[in-house]
Amino acid sequence: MINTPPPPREEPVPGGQRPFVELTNVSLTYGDFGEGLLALQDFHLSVQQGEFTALVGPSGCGKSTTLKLISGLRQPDSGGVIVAGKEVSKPLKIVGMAFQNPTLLPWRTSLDNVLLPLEIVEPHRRSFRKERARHAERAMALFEKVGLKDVADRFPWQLSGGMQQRVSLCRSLIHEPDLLLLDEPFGALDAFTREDLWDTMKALWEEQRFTAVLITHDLTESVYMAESVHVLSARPGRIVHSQRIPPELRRDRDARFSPAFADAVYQLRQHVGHAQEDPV
Amino acid sequence: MNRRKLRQALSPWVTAFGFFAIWEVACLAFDIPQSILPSPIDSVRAGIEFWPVILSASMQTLYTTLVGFFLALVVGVALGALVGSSQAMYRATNPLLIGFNSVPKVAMVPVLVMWFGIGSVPAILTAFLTAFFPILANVATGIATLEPELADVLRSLGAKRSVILRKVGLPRALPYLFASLKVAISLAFVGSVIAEMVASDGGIGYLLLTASSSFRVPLVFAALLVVGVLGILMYLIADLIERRSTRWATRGGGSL
Repeated sequence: MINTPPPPREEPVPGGQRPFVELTNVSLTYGDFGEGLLALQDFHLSVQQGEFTALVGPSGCGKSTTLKLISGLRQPDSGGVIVAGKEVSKPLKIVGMAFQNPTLLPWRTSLDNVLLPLEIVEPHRRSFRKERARHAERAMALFEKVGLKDVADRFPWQLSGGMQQRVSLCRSLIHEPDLLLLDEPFGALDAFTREDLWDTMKALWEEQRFTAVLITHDLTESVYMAESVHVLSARPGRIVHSQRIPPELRRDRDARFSPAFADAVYQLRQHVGHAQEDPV
Repeated sequence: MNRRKLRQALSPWVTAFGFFAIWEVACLAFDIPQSILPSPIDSVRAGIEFWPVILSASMQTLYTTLVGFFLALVVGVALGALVGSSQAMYRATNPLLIGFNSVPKVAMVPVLVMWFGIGSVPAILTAFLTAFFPILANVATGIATLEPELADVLRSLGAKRSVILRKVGLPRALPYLFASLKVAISLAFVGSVIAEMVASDGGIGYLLLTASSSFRVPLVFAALLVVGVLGILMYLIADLIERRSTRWATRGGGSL
């Protein structure tokens, strides 16, 4: 008798711990009155605590929808969304979000923009006025890390696009969220600024180890940033390929130009191509 | 002040002076009788002669305009915030509001007089009715055009509707509000004068009516000049407030 090998596990679960983010059998239709678009169908995703995950795929494949489901801004039509061991039924308060558009408030300085979450989120909200100096100190420490120290008193429209995006990232992290949701935050930046921000983001993640889900069109970005990358099919979105990225590929800028890095990107690219050709 | 700035500052005065100069010269050159078109100098002379009447009439009109305008401001902002912060509310109220705005406000003055009698109240209410719609529409637009991503950021922090409105919606609507105030103050003024002309016992509108019915054409024109000047003054005040309070919207590039 020959032993059949055990079926390969997609995601090794360390210590039998439940994933921090878990979507099972999720379906979602956009639009009312039954004529809507099927955005996601039989969608599965799990992200471990402290893991950096990237979702890539053709445009309109439901990547942003996935983030809305995870954050609780939308509820699925069917299936389960579990974050931090709890079923998500309303907007979560433990998340930070950043988008392609920095969405800063033009009447607030960089510093006040970053402090905005603390004016809203519990438990900081109640004591915000009393503790403002302490919060500002914390924000300044964060600014120092991302190279914004000198522009704290400037208004968003006085900053470059890259600087604005840095402020936006700081705003998503100031309340120390357990879960960071990034919807193409580097998408609208020029190539060099984007590289800088990749490293800034990585350094913050290395330090704080929050769970992160990054949506991107850029395969290089996904391989450089994430520990695991999932490729989504065209609508209705479903994960067609998952790939773990070895740590040495994400070590530094030079790693991006190694053959192994190119291989990883190529492998992903083939699955994206497949997803586009076969929409069902 | 350099030359270019000086020229910019003087240009409105030069234009206004030129306008009156042409008017004056035309009256002299074509020998137009005073009973048809009095010259500016004749009008000003009439204004000086009847200044106590004009002054008290202006004060009356100014009073009804401002009271009506502030009512419109309060009601317009409150309703605008309500309508702008909910899609359902917007859909439900929009046709009614548009229909209401299409009714000529002159047509409502007789009704107001029936209800409240001759006096300041119909003028105040007409000013209010003419002025409040642009304020409402602009505030609602300012709030409703909030970027969805920004709303998501705030909602994911656990912000309630009222918090989003206070922290983002209302500040965001301020430039829209101030833009509408400039329109609204002029409209309130028109509303007051119209109501006074239809039914009142005081104010510039009433003065216009009595002066024209007794063929004192220079006095009519003096009153019209006063209306114009008051309109400009109130516009300037609204403009000044706008520039002071929403410099971020003009990216600090305002002329102050």
